[in-house]
Amino acid sequence: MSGRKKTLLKVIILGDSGVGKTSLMQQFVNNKFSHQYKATIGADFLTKEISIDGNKQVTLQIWDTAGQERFQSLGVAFYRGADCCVLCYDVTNEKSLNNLTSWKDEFLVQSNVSNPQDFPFIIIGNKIDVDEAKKIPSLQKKLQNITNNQLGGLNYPVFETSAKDGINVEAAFEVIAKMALQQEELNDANGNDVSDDYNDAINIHLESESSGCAC
Amino acid sequence: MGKKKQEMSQVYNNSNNEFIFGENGGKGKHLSSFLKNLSLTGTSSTSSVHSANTDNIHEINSNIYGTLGYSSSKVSSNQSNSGPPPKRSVSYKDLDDDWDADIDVSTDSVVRRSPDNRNLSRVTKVESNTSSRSSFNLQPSPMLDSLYPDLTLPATNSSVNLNSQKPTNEESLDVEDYRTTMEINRLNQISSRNNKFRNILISDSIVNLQDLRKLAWNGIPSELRALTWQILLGYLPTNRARQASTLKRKRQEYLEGLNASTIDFEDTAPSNSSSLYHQIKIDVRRTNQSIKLYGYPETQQSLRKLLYLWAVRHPASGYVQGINDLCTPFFQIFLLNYIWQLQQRVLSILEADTYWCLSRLLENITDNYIHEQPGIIRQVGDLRNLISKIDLELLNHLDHEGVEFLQFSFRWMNCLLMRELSISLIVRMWDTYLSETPLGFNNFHVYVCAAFLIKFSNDLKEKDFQEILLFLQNPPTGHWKEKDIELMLSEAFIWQSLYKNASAHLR
Ligand SMILES: Nc1nc2c(ncn2[C@@H]2O[C@H](COP(=O)(O)OP(=O)(O)OP(=O)(O)O)[C@@H](O)[C@H]2O)c(=O)[nH]1
Ligand SMILES: [Mg+2]
Repeated sequence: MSGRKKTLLKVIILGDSGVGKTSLMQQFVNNKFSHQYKATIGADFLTKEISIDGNKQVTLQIWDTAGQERFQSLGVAFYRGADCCVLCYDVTNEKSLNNLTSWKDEFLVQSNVSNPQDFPFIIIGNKIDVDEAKKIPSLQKKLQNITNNQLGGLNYPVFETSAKDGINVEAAFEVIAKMALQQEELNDANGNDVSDDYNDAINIHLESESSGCAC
Repeated sequence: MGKKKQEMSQVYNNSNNEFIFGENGGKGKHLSSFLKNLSLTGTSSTSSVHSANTDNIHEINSNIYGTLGYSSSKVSSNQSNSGPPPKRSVSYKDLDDDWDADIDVSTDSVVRRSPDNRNLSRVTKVESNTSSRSSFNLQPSPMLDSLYPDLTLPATNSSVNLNSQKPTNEESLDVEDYRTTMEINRLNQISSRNNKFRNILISDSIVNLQDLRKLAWNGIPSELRALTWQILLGYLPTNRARQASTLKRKRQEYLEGLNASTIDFEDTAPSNSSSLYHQIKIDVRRTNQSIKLYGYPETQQSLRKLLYLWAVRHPASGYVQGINDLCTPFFQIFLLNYIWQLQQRVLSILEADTYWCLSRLLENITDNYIHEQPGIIRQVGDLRNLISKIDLELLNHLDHEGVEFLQFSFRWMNCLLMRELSISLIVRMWDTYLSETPLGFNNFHVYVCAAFLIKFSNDLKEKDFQEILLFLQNPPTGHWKEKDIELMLSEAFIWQSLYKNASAHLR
């Protein structure tokens, strides 16, 4: 399948309202930052073509979701078929860091992914451009707690970024793309192609049901 | 901006100017003079009718404008402007066809044309007309500048004016004549509309809501919009004798509500631990930042206050993102009416009125913002149903591409299309929503969304999943005019009358 048509990778960005999800996506896709972005309602996506490891061309479809808790039940409409999930917090807002676990849980419940145990997540701590004084005190230690398997259970790669100054954003999304591609290929191999589910709901159903028997 | 709107806003801006630059700096009582002067009907034969109405006009407007508890002290002094200049819009009603092309012409083009003596003499005539009718003393001034006071406005010359600079050949003169005639017709229409509104608003001791709705459905003149909206929303009682006291009480209540809260609303205040206030704060900072008004710290503080108060008073939903958008039309429309005296006290009045009207609006759609937002989920479902009846082909295409209605229309419901349409178009839309019974923000809105979606039906049918959503995330409405909105509203109206009763049992 991936040989025939260009690989489409679906990435979901989650995190509390105001951590900078929209800004991150805009910085990555359009290389710009603006104070005029409005609060996200529902979800939006943007796409960007990139090449992974210098040869494989993929299209990233990046979904920027709303952060306010009231909107969380909407996830079902947007998470399905995701290949990677980005959990964002704001380095000046401790609560946003503490909430990462519940964002992850919520995602797994609503996306209905086939491999919740090893589904690719990545963590982004945004706004590192701000004054040291405003940052969460002893951030590194708290981060360690949360990403430690025993304690917080979020044992995922962490990037610290500034969507404002464009620091580390590109690098983070490169890793995101790689992880998403892996997940895609894994799904392909399992004949369990949920990633295209949203694209062609009916066909995929037939495909996955018939994947066991010979054609 | 469309030509029509440009001109409307000029008419409107003139009125501001009188408030701002007028003799008494826009104390409420001068609104009556203003309205009388505006008297777009105004052949002098009707002037007796007008003076009969003057008290009424005075009364009704003082409800909104007059008894706000302003101190009148600060107005005064700057009398050098020789009193409130007559409005430009005053002029056109009793003019012959040959001159009113100047109505929208900025002062310097009037000057350019003034060698043509007709203009000057007409202007003078109009001026004396006006002063004989008005309650204040107008010093007849030959100065064009004082007749056309809005020098502060950039000259928004329409093509008519551009032509008028060089009437070099016959053809362009013909064109100009034609345009002039059209212009007169248009202005006459506006003036008779304005009068109809004014009659409803002032002629009886009880405002006839039915009539007002009928009229307002097709759009409200901007200088009467604030008043009309407040009545349609039930914020201002239809019983005119009770209007002033109601306003006073409501505004007081608002202030008391605020005083009871412990929040420091200053922007510079150390970040608060309340997550509710935090959410409001970051959203207000992201509200309409492309419009200058919303960048001012004062505006932002007002929005923070009123949104916060609303949220704590409505714990079932609390503050939900998008509600920040919904208060902006009120804020903006009411502001235009108070702008001549913008200062702290007015700001709190503006806030209070916005607060109460927002509350009224949200009462109609409480289900949109409570847990799991059932109102929106229902509306999204209704929209899908409607499309299945109106444009099955489109629905099939969306289904085939795997596009879910929730994916694109959630925002349409949550923000009432405010993310898809410019605020001036939204304001026009709300004229109609407010004239619907029940108010159009709930059910009627779904029909409007259907009309909106179907506008793009042909485009959408050509697109795949990704293209469809990208398109609907950013629908091409940048060039839309009021006409487009009005067409959409009429379509929605027709569908509503066709399907209203059917929709319940088909669900
Ligand atoms: N200093 C700094 N500010 C940022 C950065 N990224 C975002 N912001 C600011 O943080 C605020 C929120 O940014 P958004 O990108 O709208 O946040 P969001 O996560 O999309 O929020 P929701 O849409 O409500 O979920 C805005 O005022 C941004 O300007 C950053 O890297 N540095
Ligand atoms: Mg956002």
